[in-house]
Amino acid sequence: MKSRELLTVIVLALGITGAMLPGRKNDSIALNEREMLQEMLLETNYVSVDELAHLLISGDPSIQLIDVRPASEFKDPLPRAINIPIDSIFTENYAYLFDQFIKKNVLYGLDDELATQVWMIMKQQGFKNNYLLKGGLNEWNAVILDPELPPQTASKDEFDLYEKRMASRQFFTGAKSLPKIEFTPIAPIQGRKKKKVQGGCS
Amino acid sequence: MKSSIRPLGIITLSLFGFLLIVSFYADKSQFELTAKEMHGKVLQSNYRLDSVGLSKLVDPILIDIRDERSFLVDHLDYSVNVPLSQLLNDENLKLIGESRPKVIISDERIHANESWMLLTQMGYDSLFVYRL
Repeated sequence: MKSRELLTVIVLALGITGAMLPGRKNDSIALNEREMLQEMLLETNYVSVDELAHLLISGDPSIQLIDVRPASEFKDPLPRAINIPIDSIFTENYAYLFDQFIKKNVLYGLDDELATQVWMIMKQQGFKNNYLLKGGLNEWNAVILDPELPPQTASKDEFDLYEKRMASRQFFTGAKSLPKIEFTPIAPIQGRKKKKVQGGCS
Repeated sequence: MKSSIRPLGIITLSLFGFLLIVSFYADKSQFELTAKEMHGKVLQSNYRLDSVGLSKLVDPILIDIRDERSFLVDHLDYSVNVPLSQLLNDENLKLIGESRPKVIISDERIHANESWMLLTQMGYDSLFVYRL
């Protein structure tokens, strides 16, 4: 009887002390600074423009592009991107999109700055499935939509990559943006007029 | 009865102490700002420097966060190399904790911005970012 009482008292005391312990300083933060640094160094958190082009062309339905530019600057976005301006990422309409397990969010802005800020804020709250597009829209426009011909001395891999980018470019821009070919129609050769046969037997 | 209260008290007190120690060391985040506070902060901050802004800073500490090899090949005069993976080492944090303006330098805008976010959230101020 005595030991049982003792046990009860200990368990009660344990419960009370546990309940009185101070809570975490920042309840919204799931990762501490060292875990965040590990995430920053992890290459799998970043998507290059070539990888993204491949994913979009293969029609991966799990990719959700999120453009974090302010609504006033939202123009010429990537295909099927949605605009979540950086100042409204915590509003009710948008916040749930960052914390889900179905889609893979690829965040981008004009360059890296805004998207990196949003990515850091989402990552530290423990939200998964958020990735960062390296170089943003500027890199996309420069590399995929306007690829540079490698120099003659470049390796075969570089030429292969160039071919791939040209194909991607055609996929994303359609035939309209194909380079203009200088074409001057050749003047038709003037055929000689047949002369009427003159003379001879009739 | 009286004799059984004393060990009970000792046990409870020691348990309390143990829990305090455990809670102190477990999940000790040094973040000063919550995610939402940080969000408010980035909306107001403009921390990106161009070369003119960099030259205007008085007695700045230039922190190059690229890896050692890239730093060896080429770097700004008077800059110190703190590779990103070692950013949170005690001696580096001591450097960042100084009151002089600190400029994070990198050729990768993503890592420079990330470092700014991380350190700002930990409560360090007068931080800037300069891209090589």
